[in-house]
Amino acid sequence: MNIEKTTQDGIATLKLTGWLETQAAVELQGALDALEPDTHALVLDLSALEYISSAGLRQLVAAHKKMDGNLTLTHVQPEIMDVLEMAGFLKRLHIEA
Amino acid sequence: MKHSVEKRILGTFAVMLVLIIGASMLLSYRNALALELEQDRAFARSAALISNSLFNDTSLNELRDTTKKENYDETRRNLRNICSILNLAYMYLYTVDENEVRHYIMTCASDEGDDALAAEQLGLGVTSSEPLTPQERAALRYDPIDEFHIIDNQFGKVAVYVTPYIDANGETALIGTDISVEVRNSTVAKQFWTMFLPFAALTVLAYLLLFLLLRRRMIKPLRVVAQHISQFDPSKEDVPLDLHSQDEIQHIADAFTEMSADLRTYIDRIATVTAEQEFNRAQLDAAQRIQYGMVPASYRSERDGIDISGMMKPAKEVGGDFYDCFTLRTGQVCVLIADVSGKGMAGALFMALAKNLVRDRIRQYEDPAVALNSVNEELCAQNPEGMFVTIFALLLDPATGRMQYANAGHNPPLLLRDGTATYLKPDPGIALGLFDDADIRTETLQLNCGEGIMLYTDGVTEAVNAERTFYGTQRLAALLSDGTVTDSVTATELLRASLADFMRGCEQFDDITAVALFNRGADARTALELSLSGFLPLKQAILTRCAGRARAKKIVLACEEAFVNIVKYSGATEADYLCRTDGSTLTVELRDNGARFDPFAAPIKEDDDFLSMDEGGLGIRFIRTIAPNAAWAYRDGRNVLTMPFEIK
Repeated sequence: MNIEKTTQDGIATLKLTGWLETQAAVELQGALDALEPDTHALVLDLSALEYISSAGLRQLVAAHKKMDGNLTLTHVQPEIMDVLEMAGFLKRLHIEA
Repeated sequence: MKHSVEKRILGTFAVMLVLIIGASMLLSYRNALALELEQDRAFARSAALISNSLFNDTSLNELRDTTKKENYDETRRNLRNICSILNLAYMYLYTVDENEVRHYIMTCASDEGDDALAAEQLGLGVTSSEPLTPQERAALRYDPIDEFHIIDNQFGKVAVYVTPYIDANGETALIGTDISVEVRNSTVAKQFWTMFLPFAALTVLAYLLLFLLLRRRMIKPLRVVAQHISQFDPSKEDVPLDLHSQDEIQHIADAFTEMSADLRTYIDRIATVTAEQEFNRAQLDAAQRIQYGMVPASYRSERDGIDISGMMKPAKEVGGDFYDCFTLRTGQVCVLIADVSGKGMAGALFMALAKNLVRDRIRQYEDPAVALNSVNEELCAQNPEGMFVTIFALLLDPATGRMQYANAGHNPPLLLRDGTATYLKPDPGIALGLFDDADIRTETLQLNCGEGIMLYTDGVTEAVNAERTFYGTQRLAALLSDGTVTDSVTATELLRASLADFMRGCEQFDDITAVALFNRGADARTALELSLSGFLPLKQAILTRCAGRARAKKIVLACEEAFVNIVKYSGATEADYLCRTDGSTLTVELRDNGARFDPFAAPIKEDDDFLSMDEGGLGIRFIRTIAPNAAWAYRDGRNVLTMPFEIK
């Protein structure tokens, strides 16, 4: 699991690459905690994300809360989309294909 | 056309014409010259003869006598007459003294002006001391040369002919006869043109006619034939070409008409044959597809601790290998391998028949020998082509490891025990389909936990490499004796790689088929380390078993969720898993010694609880969705979670 961060005008983008397993979810949590206080929106680029487990999903919910809903998922791959659907997240998260 | 025959012939004719005309010019000129010289000599001789008789009665002294002028003048007149009649330029009479000085007596010319000049300049008493010519010396010796001597003096260029004359007193004089070279040349030229022109004209005409004839009779018809041939279209009937002649070129045209008809027949035949071949090829391809559809290129099954892996690498032509694995009503696992004689369509049909028959009879009799003997009877009864099949069939009871097997003329299998492969020595039996009384026998063997059997066809042992050596039974046994072979997939994959390496760059002549099975024990479990990274072996096991399948990651997800729950919440100190593949189902059984917990008893969170989902509850939801038939049990102080996954 690799996390690549870019920030512009208070909008942080995290690009997640690889498998977001239970172990890797801790890394994502760390990255979320490290966001600058003036960050008012978060974009998660999932174009290279191959796998996500419930621990990873929990971090998505945590991020959603932290950003007061200003969380966007982009480039979600079909396999990940399936898991989001199974979890019932599609209606709650802002997702861009 | 780069070099047309017409141009070549024309060129050759031109060269020949130039040569012939040149040669004939030369010859004509020489002829005319020779004729003229001969004529001149004849005239000169005649002139000398006539003059001799003219001077016959006259002595030279008489002529020198100036008192007898009438006599001199008459003689001169007569001489001039001769000169004119014979068309000579000059005639003269002179003596030569001992000092070789010429003393002219008289000279005359046929031309009037010249005559007056000659009378004055070379008249009586005129002398000349010009050196004597050979002709003059010869004449003085009375041995005249019958040839002219050319001189060029004040009288122009003349050819001189000299003859001796002896008068009545015995005094010697010379008679000179001059012929004008100019006159002679013009005569020669006239003669030459008279001879040469008609000949040249005739030759040119003849060549022209010959060329026109050649063009009309050969070149033009050849062009017509060539064009006709180049317009040949096999799809149309050839219209015979009529050149209105009976010559060789018409013969060529006729021969082509005949040939084009044959050609069309051949082309039609080839088209038909090709279409037939394509049809047959398609039929054969379809047969091959159906046949190989009945025998998977690779097969994998793991059930009740029996781990089976099969492989088949078909040869280019439809071969007759097959293998089959299935479970009997009794729970016994049947594994068999077979090789049908013959290839092609017949082999494919016979294989299909044999495969269904064997499966049917083994299910019916639950004993390999009884089943194979029954198959044999059936095959012998309905086998007009005299085909046969060799089979090795075994039944393994997973609960006890007892193996029953029977051999019908097939290669002996390998027993993989304690890291070493050794050949079993079954009763050889005999191929089925040949004799009514095959008398196949059942033998037994105890296949313990961790032991395996390798079945193969002769396509393996008789594979040929670049040095034309067989793969052979020893190489096969050595390959499987390296100590790493403890499961069926390793056995077949090792063999596949070894054969590929061995046969690199060589054609495969026969189907290559092998089946390996291992008794892994009914409860072959793998322990799991109780940490988050402890999931890795199970993740690998799942990905290996579902390689390339879309569901692989979902199965990993369900298992990860279950495993993480054990690690985080159960307080277990021991956990293990068991993986089984059976056809289209992969079953993962997770066991732990933690707190008793039925994951399916807990209520499932609704989607409305989204904002509380960061607290947990998603894992169970995933397990239920991905493995809807998952079940939990608590046995011997352990939680046992069984998750069957569809993998097709």
